[in-house]
Amino acid sequence: MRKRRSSNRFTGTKLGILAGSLAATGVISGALAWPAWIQEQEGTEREATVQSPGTSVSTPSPPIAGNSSSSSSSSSSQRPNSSHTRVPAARSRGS
Amino acid sequence: MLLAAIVLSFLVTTIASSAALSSHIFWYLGRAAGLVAYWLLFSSVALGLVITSRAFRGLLGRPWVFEIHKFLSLVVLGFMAFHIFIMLPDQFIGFRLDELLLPFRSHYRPVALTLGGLTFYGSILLTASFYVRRFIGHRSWRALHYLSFLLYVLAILHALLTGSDSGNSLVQLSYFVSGLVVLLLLAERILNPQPPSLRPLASDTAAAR
Repeated sequence: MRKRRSSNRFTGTKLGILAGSLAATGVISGALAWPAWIQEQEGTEREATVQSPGTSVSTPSPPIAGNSSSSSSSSSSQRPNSSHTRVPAARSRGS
Repeated sequence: MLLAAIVLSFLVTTIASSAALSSHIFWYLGRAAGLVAYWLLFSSVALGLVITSRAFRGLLGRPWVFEIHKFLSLVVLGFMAFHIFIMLPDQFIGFRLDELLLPFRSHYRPVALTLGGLTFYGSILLTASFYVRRFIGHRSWRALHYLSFLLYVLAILHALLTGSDSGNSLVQLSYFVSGLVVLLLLAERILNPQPPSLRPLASDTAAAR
């Protein structure tokens, strides 16, 4: 009887560890993805605004590297999900 | 656990692709799984040291600690496998399977990735040793277990040299605190060794079942 109870406790702890680890992975992934997702949404909205009728698109400014969070009009031409959300070294992959 | 992690990696890949989610999700999942794998590895190593520590004698039931230590090593392996295989569908970094599994084949930080690969293979060996303990004998099993400290150091080096989040102050703090805890437990173990009669025996494993 005692052995069975102890075994049950182990199972509960094991399930807790597994569930906690999976939850932590989900939460951390979400936290990492969130800023990029927000930026992606903003980029999509800006692109839609720029392309809407009656909106001038005559002089798009080039994107400024590393300054994508800027609220200036230059960021509107930057593609969503740009590589600046990555580790800089990852971008260094060449050809 | 290892197989489950590989299956889960491919399952997530399929779901994410069919749901037309951003391919970047694999990158974030990989980074998160790497961090969780490190913290699980730390927990496993720390619990392993606690089992034979005098300071913790009587505080934690030894069969319970041993069983959770053993289970943690299995979960670590699963998260390591997930951390590796979930990187495959990420199109930005573009890893191939051989780059992830073979040493010095990666186009991206080959030395740091090799350290991670060695940690993974060492963990497979160490986890398997739990299940072949009766065949290899307690002394060999114990000798093999010293490998865990090397694997822990390799994991920290891999995290620091490769990890995209190593610049994050919270992550750095967690590495520092966990490393310090392992060092202190190791120092306690060396300076205050247990008499042979109190060392964990095969009966501990049997009691934990």
